[in-house]
Amino acid sequence: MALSWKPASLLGRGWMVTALLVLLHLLPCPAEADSSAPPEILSLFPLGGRPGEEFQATLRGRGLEGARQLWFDSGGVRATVIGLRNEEGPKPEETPQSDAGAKPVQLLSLRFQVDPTAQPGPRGLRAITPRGLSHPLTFHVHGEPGHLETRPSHDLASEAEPLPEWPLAVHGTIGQPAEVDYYAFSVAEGERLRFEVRSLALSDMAISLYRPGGSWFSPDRARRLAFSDEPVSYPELSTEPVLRHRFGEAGRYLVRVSGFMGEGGADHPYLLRIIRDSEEEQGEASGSVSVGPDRDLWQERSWTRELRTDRMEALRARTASPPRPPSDPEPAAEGRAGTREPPLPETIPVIELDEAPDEASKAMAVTLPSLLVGTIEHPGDIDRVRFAAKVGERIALEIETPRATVPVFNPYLKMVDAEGAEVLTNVHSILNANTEIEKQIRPKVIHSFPRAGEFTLEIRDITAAFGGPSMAYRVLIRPQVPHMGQIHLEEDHLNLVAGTAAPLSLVTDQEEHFEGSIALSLTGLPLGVTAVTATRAEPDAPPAVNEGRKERYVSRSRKATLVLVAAAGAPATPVPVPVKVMAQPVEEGRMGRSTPVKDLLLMVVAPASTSTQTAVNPVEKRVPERDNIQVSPD
Amino acid sequence: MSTLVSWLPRCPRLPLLAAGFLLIAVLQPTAGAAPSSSDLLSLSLMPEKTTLRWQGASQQFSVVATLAGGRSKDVTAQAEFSLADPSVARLGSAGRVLAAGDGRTWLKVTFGSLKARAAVAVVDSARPPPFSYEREIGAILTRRGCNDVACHAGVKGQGGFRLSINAAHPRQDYDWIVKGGVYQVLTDERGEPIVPRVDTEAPERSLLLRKPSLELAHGGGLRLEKGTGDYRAILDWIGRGAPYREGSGEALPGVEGLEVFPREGLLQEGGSRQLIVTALLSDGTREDFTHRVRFESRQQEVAELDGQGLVRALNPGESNILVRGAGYEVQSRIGVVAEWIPDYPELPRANFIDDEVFAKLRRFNILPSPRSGDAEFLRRVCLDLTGRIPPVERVREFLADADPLKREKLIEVLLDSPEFVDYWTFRLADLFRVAVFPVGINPKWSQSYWEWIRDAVARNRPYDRVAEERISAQGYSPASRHYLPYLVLPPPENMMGEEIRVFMGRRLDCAQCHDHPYERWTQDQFWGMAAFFGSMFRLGANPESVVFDSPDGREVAADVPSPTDLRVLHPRTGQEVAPTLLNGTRVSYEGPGFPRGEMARWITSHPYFAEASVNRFWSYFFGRGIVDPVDDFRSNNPPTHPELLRRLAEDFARNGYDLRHLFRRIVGSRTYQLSSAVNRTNRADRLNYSRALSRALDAEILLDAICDLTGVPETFGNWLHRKKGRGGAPKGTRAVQLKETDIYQSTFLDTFGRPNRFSIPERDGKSNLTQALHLLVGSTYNDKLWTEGARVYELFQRGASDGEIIQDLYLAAFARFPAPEEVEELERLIAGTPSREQALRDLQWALITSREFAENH
Repeated sequence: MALSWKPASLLGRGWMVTALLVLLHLLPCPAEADSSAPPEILSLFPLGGRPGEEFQATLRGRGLEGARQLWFDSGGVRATVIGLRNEEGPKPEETPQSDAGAKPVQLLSLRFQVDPTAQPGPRGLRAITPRGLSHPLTFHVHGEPGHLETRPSHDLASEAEPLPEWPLAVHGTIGQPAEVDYYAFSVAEGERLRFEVRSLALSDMAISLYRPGGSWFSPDRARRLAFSDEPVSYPELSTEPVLRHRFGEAGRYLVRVSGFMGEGGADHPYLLRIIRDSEEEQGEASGSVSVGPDRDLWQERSWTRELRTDRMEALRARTASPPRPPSDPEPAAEGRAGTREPPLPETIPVIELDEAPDEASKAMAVTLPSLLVGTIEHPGDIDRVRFAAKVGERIALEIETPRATVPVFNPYLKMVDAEGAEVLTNVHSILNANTEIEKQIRPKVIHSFPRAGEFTLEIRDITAAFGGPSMAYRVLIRPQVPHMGQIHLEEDHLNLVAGTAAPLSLVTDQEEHFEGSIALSLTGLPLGVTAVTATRAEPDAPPAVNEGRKERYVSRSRKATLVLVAAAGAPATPVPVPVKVMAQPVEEGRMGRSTPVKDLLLMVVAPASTSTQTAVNPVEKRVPERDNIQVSPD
Repeated sequence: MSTLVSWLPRCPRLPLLAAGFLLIAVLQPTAGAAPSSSDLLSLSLMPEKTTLRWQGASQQFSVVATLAGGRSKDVTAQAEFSLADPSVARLGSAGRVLAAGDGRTWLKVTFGSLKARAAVAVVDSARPPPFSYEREIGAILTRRGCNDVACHAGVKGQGGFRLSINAAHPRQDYDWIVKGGVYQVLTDERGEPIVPRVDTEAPERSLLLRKPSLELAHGGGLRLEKGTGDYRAILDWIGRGAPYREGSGEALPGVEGLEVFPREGLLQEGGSRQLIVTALLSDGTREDFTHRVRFESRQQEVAELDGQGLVRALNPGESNILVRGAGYEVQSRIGVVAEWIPDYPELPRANFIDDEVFAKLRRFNILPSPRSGDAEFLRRVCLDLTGRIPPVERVREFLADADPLKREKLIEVLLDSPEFVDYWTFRLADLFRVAVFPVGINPKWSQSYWEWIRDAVARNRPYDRVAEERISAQGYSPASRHYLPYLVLPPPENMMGEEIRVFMGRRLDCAQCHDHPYERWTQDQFWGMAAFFGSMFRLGANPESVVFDSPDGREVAADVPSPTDLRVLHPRTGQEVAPTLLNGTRVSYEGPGFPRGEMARWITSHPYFAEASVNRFWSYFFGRGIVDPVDDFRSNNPPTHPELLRRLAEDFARNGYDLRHLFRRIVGSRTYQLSSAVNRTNRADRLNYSRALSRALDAEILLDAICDLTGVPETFGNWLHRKKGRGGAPKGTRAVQLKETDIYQSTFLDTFGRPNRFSIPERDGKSNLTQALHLLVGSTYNDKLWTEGARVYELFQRGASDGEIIQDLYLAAFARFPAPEEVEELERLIAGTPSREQALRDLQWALITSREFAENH
């Protein structure tokens, strides 16, 4: 309650105002309202460390009372809790996303030890308290020497903080809105450097490179040489900026880290890596950072999933059909349309299309299945293959973009018949609620041929304006395999209070006319916790729109709910327990292979009345040191 | 005389071409007072020969006397005319000759001691000309202003009655008159009542006569007095059954163009000049149309006309005389001077810009102002190339520098400066409308679009490549984002209209609903160009929207019954329109490219592109375009300096559309470097670049200048997504460096005219009351004056004297030293104020609110 009005000032305002204030004082303070809320971690500084290093760090968060341990999703890092204190003074401008009712921000002091053998890369880090497990933050193990930002303000080129020699990992914070951090470094002529910034979810950082030296107008003016903000903002793609630059002249240069829109505050720490460009292989992988078990194991409709030559076997493993050696001529099962399926090859042949002629009349003939590998080499480039299909034959087209991907490279597949009439594309049109046509490009499309014939598949970029080595594609054209698709589970962890229950909502995809059931199970539940199935009420569906030929582009899906029940007497788990969510296709009485869906971190916590209530003083309270827990995923 | 030329530096005389002598002779001012016979040098009679065909044919002649010193005077009204053979032709009033009988003769003219003659031939004098509606009735309607765009040639006509402008489409006009009907939008069908406007049974009852003669109420007022020749001609025509053509079956040749003589002329205040208009006929002959056209002075305070082509000079200045008739429009540019300069001096020139500008000044008898002083030049060129006022130390250095090439060197330094990149990124971001809302409501997009522009400026990418990339932008490229304002693709016609306006300087929008009223643009051309944008589609939803042109021009995956039709349909015919360039070339979807890309290449290689581009950039340096408004090229808005525009465009194209090259040409010219001080010959001139015109600083430039002067930078906050919190521009960010206008709040910038870029920005630089209030109480003008780090505050703290502070402020604000009397007066004022601090604050306030500070001059 940050009421700073003086009573004297209220005297003239009448009794109603006074009564209102009294009433407000009598209401429970929001910060104290929910003492059983799980911990929330906001940021960590510094964001990582080097193998063999031992250093102190501060974790900002809320509800951290009793936090004694950290959890990492992979090994090589240990953290010890040193103490906890409330952050001094309200700083609403630093945490504008927090509302007035938020709990006070706390600072958890930690000592990190990075194992000398730890592999560079990101780790998921969570806080464990008596009230459960937090969501993850990313901790980076970097191979370069670390450097902590020392100057409180280096907003101008003239105030740039000098850096020791690179390679280097600079740990800094954009501490205020509109703040930028300049650093100075030196390079030799012809040097190629790579600059990367890693930050947390609230931040969207940008990197700029400058040559100091002043201008006619100002001796402090620096000339900008390069800029990177990763303008793409797309699911699965990283927004972390990377800047590569070759320095034509030796000398002193500046690198600037800033918030994309000038955002800043205590929860905007960053890690700036400056490395020789050729050192990339030794460093952390660029691109999107996947932390811990968030990412589903099976990727069915992703542009960046890997389409391998054993894809058919992988698909079959997600069915309830018995495994069938490719050499076995026996199954030759009846196809769903009454045609006999030919025996499938053990591995899918790879067809290179880069050398194929562009002319439509010279399209290369292929058989199914084939993995087409090629590149849109120049604007307007169209690669083509032709193949024969029988009546009722069902095919699936899967597209992978191993380098540039959507929305930069938008592979457009069009299948035409012998007369040139369009049969199929991978563009899904729908009529949305605003009666506008909305088109989505899809990484997978299925089709059933109503008539036999020879068909040509064209592969191009939808714009006809771009081309080049980065616009590589892999297109798998294959018979359909009805199978269990991706299983979606939003939660990655669960804090279950003893004596209560919590639902897990799952969505199961049925691919390519899979008509069986999917059995879901959990393994590794802690003592006193059981899982039962449940139904759930769904809100009414929105007004129907014309979803076009949805069946071609989108899998059918079903929803399921599992309820985890912790008995009243279930013992609290001091550390998260990895629970495996498993799925198993069921068809015509046959059970398929049980397949892991996701690892769920589960903690059973004691009810609020019995959980540890730790009063936190503004002055740091030292707690007995206790090591972190490291759980390595399978 | 000595005072007029004393400022001119020595320079070699430039050779004058013989043609130049002739042109100068034609253009010498026509004096208002009668010349003495000793002043007369020669006499010219125009035209030098003519052929009069048909009964009643006539020719208007013009007599011009050349006087001592190269002046000229129209003496048509005073000269004595005679004909060698009166049986062939006879004299009318004021230089008009009429056919009398077939044959040849000489028209002789005498003025004072001078004589001249012209050959006159007459044929078919006994035969009345075959009647045609367009020659007779159409000409009357044009002369009387009935088919002016403000009357019945407006978009929807007037009162349901619609005519084509200047009788450009006589057959349609004829049908409207004799068949009747009411105009309806977007259809060729006539609405009810379909009642003819002529009554052949009772001609005098015809609406075509009763309305303009005010026998019936007429919104256009009295246009056709009863009893006049025009009234009788229409009455007679209706009485003959209102035919479209009539006669022996011999068709009259059609009109294929008009010429006006002189195309450019100079008059002294009070003088006059007879214009002669000649029709170019389809059979290769020419015919006098002086009395068949309508004249209109665009600047009536400068010159007026009597309806028969006689121009009267009223006040010094320049006016375009529009001549309209037979569906065509031509102009004559008339200058009016107050006095005659007897010995016009040779002017030093730096490049072809000066050749063209000074040639016109000479023709128009205007002396340019002297070359600007170093201080004036320094401040101007810094503001125009970088948007910044020069810092004090640089001013001192430049003013003290004795190097004769210091201006050229400074220009190179500025062109290579990072501030140049900032400023021209800002200019192009304005033109290309970089703002969050017009660029997809996505700061990621608007910023990448801004970065694309900045990169183009920093790398000096050829402007034609920049334009082509923007027009043909596809995919997820930064430039493609401008096609997604508010996340949706605008209608094809809107996208096309903006690209043509930005890169060709033309406004085709009027042709969207009808053929362009002023221009030759047709509705077909408009929709043919719009069709290039018709196959564009948006793939995906925010934030991953991709712009693409549907291959084959047909919708991709048209699986859903679509209310969106990729075909562009002509609104009047309902027919599908194929992508067609303005020159009529159809572009197909065959081949590896795509039509919009073809169109982009066509636009950027068309002469319109180069001339529209140089015109726009020219306006940033002179406050107005050679065609102004800069994106309104049309026949009745001609360039003030057509040859200059042509040469600039040619030079721009020849040098790879290099903006820095263009700017170097402009600021290196003597024309650009003229002083803003006026002389008595150029006081009224605002069109001919005879002096530098003061221009109000744009809001961003003014704010940055205030910050530079006071030494107190501005801070700019922005809004962000709630989850992300509050953001802002980095410390030290200048207003011109802001990437978007619509998310950085600034009362000052909004008050002083920052556009929101939701449409193509047009800054008028006009002041308003809010600005005045802001000067008085606004935080920008008051809070920066006395704070830690502020210029004067720091000088004060260091113990600087009043004189030192005054000098520093003058150098910072005006890039000049204060005059001794200014120092003396200001020191006296400061000393007389009880609080020195208050006096220094007031001094700063006075300087930053002065016109000298707030304008570029």
